[in-house]
Amino acid sequence: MKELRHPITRALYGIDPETGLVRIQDRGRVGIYSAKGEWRSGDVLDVDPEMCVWVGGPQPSAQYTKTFKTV
Amino acid sequence: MNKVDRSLHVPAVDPDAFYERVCKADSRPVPEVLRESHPFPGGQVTVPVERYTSREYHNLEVERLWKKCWQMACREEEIPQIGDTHVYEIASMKFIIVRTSPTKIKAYANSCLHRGRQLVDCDGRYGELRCPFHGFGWDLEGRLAKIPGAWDFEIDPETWRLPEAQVGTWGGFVFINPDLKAAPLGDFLGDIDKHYARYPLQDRYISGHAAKVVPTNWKAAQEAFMEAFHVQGTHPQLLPQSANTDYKYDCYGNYARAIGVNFIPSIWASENPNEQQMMDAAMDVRLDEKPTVIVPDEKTARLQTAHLARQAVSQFIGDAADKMSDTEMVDSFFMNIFPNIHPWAAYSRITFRFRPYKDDPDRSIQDVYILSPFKGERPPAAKVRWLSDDEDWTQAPEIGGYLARIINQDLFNMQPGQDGMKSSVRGYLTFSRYQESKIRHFHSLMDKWVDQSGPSERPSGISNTAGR
Repeated sequence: MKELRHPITRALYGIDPETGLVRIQDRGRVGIYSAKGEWRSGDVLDVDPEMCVWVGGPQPSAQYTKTFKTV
Repeated sequence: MNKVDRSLHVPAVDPDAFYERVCKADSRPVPEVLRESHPFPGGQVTVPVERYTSREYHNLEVERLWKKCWQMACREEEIPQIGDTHVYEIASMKFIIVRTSPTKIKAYANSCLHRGRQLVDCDGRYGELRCPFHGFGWDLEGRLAKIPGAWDFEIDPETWRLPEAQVGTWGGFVFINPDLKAAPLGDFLGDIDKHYARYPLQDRYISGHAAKVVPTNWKAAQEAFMEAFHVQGTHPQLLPQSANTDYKYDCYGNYARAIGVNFIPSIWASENPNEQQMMDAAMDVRLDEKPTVIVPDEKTARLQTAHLARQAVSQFIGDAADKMSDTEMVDSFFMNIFPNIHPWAAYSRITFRFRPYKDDPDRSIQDVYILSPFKGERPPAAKVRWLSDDEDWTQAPEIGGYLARIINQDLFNMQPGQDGMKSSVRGYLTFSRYQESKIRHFHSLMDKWVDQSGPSERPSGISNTAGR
């Protein structure tokens, strides 16, 4: 699911295996969103769209080697 | 054992004092230049949205800034041989940047003196600058060399030399200034060399270069890269390992710097991560994945990253790597030179440039350069990859997938940012006293260069509006 916990809200952002969209789990509720933070379904109505961009956007192999940072 | 003082995790109210504590905990001596304090004076300011949206202001920028100011056109390594030519575009103007000798570069307005057609359409290697329209030609020194139908013209070759722009080089970059009366580049840059003395940018090569027309004004585009205040909104995944509200901002003449401490969590992170969690956040390790970089028990994430970074850099600089401080190896040093180039310092490889796109105030060109160290013979400079409107930054793998995803998050704000300014009722933006002080510094220079009229006549200007 490649989940990441939001550092402020503690909600879980991951990829929904059925739809490939962003799945947010927050205090027992679930919401499905696009990679741009657009609501698609579910009870979670608070979304951080940038977290959706990070989790749901293109995920190329990170060139973030053990030895040298780009950023 | 050499652990960082955990008291550094206490939220700082004084970024200079915070960074000084970080430097004192460093495992190596920290260069004095990094400890300098040059905060930009003054308080909160407002800037009219017209600076970002109006064609009138864009036209003023062209006349008073882009025709008058030093600006980065290319890297020297992009034109290594005599005759190598780069076409530099700024707003609707184009310049020919051509190497005329091993040590000399010249810049000309890209316009035939006969009927105005641009002389050079694309980068390449040329023996002469010949207009494809009628065949008028100039040598690389700008002297008129060919006059088709000379019998039909009354031409004084001296008045038909190609109009030049001044050229200067710094850090491997080629700067031009169309104003022949402007002071030299060195005067403009002031004492900037002291920030790069240990990691000169002329010792890098372009290992990746991507460019994209982005849907916002060039100033709005670059301002997102001039403060870390936006991290909690735009890059929340960085909060566990980026003390974004404690960035140190210093402003000098025509340039400014921000120093961002990494592997100290932001005050916005609702839980205090441990060292491995900070490393996992930096490496984008997900909850169901194994760590990619392990932090040994006796180390902190900061020290482990510094150790690994020294290992990486040592292949280029040898034993000198061991003298590099933790902060130089781990932290972010984002510099900007007025008006529009951002050559990050230390061993970060990032340089950004932001330019107006033709005469459209709603769009701009963002360049992302990756400048890498090398050993031995200089590798050839990478060619620019232009991304289309439909492509995002991850489609330029040469800039690195992680960086591309970060910039995609900034790109996400650009169109709505430009649209939002046009919906503004108040008609102005507000910049804070400290966290947005690099932007205040930038606009004070824009005020000087572009808004030259007195306060009562200003078409747009900074006003001090603390408490508004």
